[in-house]
Amino acid sequence: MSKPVTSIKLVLLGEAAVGKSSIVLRFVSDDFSENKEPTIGAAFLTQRVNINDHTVKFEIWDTAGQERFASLAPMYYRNAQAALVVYDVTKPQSFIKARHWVKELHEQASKNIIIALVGNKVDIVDENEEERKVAREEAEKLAEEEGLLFFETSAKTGANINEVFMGIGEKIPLKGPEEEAQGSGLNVTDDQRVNLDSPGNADGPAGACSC
Amino acid sequence: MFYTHTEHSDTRVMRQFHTPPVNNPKFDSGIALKESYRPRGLSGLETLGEERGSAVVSHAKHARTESAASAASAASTSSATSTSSHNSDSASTSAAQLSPEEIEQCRQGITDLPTDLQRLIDVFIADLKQPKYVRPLTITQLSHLFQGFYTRFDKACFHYVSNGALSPAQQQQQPLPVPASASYFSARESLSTGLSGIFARSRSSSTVSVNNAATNTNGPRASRRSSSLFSMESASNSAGNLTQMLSPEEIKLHIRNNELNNVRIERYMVLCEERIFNKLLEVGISVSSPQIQPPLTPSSSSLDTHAKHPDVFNVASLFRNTPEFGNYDRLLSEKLRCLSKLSLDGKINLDEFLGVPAAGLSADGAASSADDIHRALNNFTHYSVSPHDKVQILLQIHDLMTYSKEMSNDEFLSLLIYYIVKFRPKRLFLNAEFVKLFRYKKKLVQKELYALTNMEAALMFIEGLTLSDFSDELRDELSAHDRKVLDTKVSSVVTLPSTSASWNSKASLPPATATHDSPTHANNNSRPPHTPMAGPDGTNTRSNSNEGFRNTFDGSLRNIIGKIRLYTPPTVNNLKPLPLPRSTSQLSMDYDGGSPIRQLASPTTTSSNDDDDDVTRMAGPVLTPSRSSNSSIPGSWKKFKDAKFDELKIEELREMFDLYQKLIE
Repeated sequence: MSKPVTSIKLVLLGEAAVGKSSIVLRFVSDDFSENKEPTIGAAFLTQRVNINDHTVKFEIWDTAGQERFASLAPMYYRNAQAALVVYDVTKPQSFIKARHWVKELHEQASKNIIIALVGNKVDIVDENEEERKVAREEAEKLAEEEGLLFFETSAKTGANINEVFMGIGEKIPLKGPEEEAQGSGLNVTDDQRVNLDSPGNADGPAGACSC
Repeated sequence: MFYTHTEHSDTRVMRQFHTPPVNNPKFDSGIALKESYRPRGLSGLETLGEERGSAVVSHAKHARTESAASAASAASTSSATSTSSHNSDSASTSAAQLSPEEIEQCRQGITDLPTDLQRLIDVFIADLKQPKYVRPLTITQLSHLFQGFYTRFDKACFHYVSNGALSPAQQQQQPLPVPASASYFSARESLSTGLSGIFARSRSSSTVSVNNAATNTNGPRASRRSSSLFSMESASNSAGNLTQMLSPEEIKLHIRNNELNNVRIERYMVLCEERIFNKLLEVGISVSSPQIQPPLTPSSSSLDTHAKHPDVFNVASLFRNTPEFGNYDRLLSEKLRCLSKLSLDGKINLDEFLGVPAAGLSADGAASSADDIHRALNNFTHYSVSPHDKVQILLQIHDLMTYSKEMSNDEFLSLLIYYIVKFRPKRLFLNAEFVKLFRYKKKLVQKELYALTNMEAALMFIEGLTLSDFSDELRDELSAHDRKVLDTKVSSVVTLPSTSASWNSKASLPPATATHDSPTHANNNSRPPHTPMAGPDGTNTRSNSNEGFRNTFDGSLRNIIGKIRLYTPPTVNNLKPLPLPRSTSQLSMDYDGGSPIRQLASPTTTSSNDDDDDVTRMAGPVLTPSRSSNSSIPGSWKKFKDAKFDELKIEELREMFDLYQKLIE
């Protein structure tokens, strides 16, 4: 417990039914977790992970994947430090949508947001390679071009799930607790606190005799 | 105060260890304060304590949600179980960790705010009701005042808790298993002097740890350590620099106390919000002055019907100075009504349109949960008062909607929109905005923020619905009125004043006519330099110097209370300024600038700095009436501007006195 804790707001983007919530549920229910904290279904979860000397606390925000709600996404990824853009390796349309999300995040989200591109449902492909509709190379290319982390996962088998989050955790600049605090709204700015340097305070003792 | 000017080699060390070295006389309290007030330190105990605290707090919060929810879902129950099992695990590994029971007990032990803290709220409200602003405050500015107050209240709570100023009754309720807890508090009482107050301001709770040390380890070591902190002399005497490390046990106790204190502060903050808004409900928010008659928004016309109901809190009244919000809400309600009608007429299939999961509506007990959600939505808009309560209801709504632990936001959001359209709670938008603006920002995080964001997103979705979202057939069936309602987005008709931008940058307040008392204090530093700060009646001097005094010396809460005045009477005008050049102490006394006493004194003063001219210019327009009537002042009145007092001759002093006499006329 003596490790410093960095909390990270991570937002989940991706078409409906690509398995966003399954990935997260797999991640938080795995046993390497220490803390179980309150959730809102699978839509809001937190999870602590130890990475090197740090504890990273993921605050995972799910977004509604329906196309109809796409315009609402900025409300959710505001101030996020990390994003998981999920697609289904068996559904080409979901990959097209993923491209859109990546583009939008680069344009509108926080400057240094860390994005992981995640192709889910590889278990289906492992059973039958015919099912694959999104080539691994294609996704890798996108990831390289856009500077994304890339993983192919299976929420069903748990393959690569933890790696996604560990990968993000390692890329998070841990020196930035201040930025992080701002993101999650925990920030208490210095000027709200006592500042002995400010003139009003320095004059305190003299002010005492103003009566 | 005594430590602020020490060299920097020490302060660099201090940045690494936020817990002040108890017996280091060179300890720079100024730096330590700043460092410790960072929300998260870079390392060390500080971070640890904070983090543990926040974890505890969220446990407690969860427990509260659960007890509040009339029909707690299976999901939340199971997660609570896992929470407690986890905690008991860790409790067995470390004796210092708190069990959820202890935390719960501690939390429930606090049912009302201590009188001292209550008074802070009363003062704040009394101040809010003072007719002191030229223009009515916009909602953003109001929110800003509240947030500033919350922050200060938080600090006061921290003082209160860490000073151990608990009433006897509460002490009994505190299940402190530390054997020496009684002596802990008494030791605290006798030792807490002004200086300890300053230390206590640092969140590192050095005082707490010291007291743990004093009560738990025997012998001279502990007592010396504590005295070195609490008395200035021994602090400077103990130049031996014997740094003693805290034993693991002491650290555990330290953490434990931090946790308990965090729980208490959390609880106090909740009670604070409750009390403020209940009080506002009681006294109303109108300001007595006739010059401030804010225009009523259309939405507040329904206020009368609800006003008869004493328990109904109408947030619309808070928004009345910013009519955009009211208009927005009205248009949104109209759209909701229209959508709801279309849905009832079977012209649109809401379930299909929103992609509402079948399981969410057809599951067993869906009908009863719909009723519960209806009730909860009404509670949210009508029968809850404090922002904290409202946000808890939002969480409750999410709990009620949960039919499976695996629900993602695909389901939550569509269900939420579905229920909003179905039940059309009044003033939903204003209530959501109210929570956003008036819930203590530091606590509106994580789950709470998520639930609120969902609500906002749902409303934004509804707001943005236009005809193009529906089929062409529907368009032809619509009545002219409905078509008009659905023609445009609400946001394209009404532009809301940006509230989010001002969350970080301070919203500047309109110039005050009278005094800027405590609530605006947080803004003082960021105020634009040419805003007239001083009122013509000059009460500024008093309140501001009190501010300064308080900030530095409010070691004990009693001190704070003593210094806040409900409303400072404008006595300064009647005081005759001393006919002497100001001594340095006077100079610093009204350094806050712009006070009339300063205005009158500055022309004759022998001391001069740039600030003088600045201040004169700033307050000039305000004071013009009284000064322009005085035409007999010789043109030479500025001749002493650059003089030094020590070099003045009696003659010159006399001349100065004459000038003064004329000025005073």
